[in-house]
Amino acid sequence: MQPSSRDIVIRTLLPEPGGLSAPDILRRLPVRISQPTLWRILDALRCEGRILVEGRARATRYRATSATDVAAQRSLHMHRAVARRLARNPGLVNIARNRLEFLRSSNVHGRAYHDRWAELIGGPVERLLASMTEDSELGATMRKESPFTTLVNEAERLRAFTDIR
Amino acid sequence: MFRHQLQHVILEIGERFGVKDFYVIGSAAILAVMSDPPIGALTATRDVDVIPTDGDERLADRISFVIGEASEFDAAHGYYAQGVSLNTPRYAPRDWPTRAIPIRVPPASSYLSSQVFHLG
Repeated sequence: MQPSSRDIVIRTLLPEPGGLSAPDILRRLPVRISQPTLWRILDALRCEGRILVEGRARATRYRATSATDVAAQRSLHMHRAVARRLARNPGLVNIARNRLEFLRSSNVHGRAYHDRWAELIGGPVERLLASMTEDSELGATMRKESPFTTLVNEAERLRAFTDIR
Repeated sequence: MFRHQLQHVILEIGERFGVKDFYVIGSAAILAVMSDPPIGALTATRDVDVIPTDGDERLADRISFVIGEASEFDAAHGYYAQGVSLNTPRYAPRDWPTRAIPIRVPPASSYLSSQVFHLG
C-alpha cells in the first residue's frame, strides 16, 4: 500500500528532533506536493497531536511529537528561561529551596523527586542548570515536580504558551 | 497527589470555566478507584490531565494557562491541571470514554462530575 502524504510528512519529521521549517520539509519530501497542501497536512497533524509547532512566522518549526509533548515542551521552555536568570543570579536558588519544602508537604508522594532536586540544588550550579533544562524523558519527569516554577515570570510563561502549540 | 486535591482541581475547573463534565486521564485518575493509594510512581504526580468532553482544545489550553504549571493556582497549592486533547490517550481502547468512572464534587449550588479514566 502506498503511504499517504501525511505519513510521508511524519516520516520526514521523525528523524529530526529539532524539527524542520515548512520550506525544509518541502525540500526533503520524496514526492512533490504544493505548499498549500503541506499546510493543510501540517494543520491536520497538529490537530491530531502528532506534530508540535514551535516559534512564529518565518521561525516556525514543525516537529513529530508524542501525545504529551506540548505540555512537556512548554515546561522545558519555562525552565530554560529560569535557568538563564539563575546562571546570572545563583542566589535565586534560595527561592527554589523554599518552594521545595512546600512541595514536600503538599505532595508527599513525590519524595524521590524532591530528594533528587535537593541534591541538585545543593550541588554545582552547572549541574543544576543542565538537569533542569535536560531535553529527555527523565528531564520532563523531573520538571513535573520542579521547585523552579514559582520563578517563572508572567512574560516567560506567556511566551511558552504562544510559541509552543 | 491525594483524592481531596483531585476534587479541588475538579471543583476549580467547574467553577472557573463553567463546565460540568470532563475527563481526567493519566496517573491522577487512579484516585477515582483508590482514594488512598500506596506511595509510588503512580501517585507521585502533582498534575491532573484533563480533557473537555467535546475535545475543545481551546478550552484545554485555557485550563492549562489559568490553573496549569507555574500558574498562581500551582504556586498557591502545589498541584495543577493540564488540559490535553482527545488524541492524548492514543493507546487506550477505542471505547475508553464509556469506561470512565464518575467522581462527583458537590459545590454550593450544583453537581460537577468528572469522568475519570485510569490508563493502565
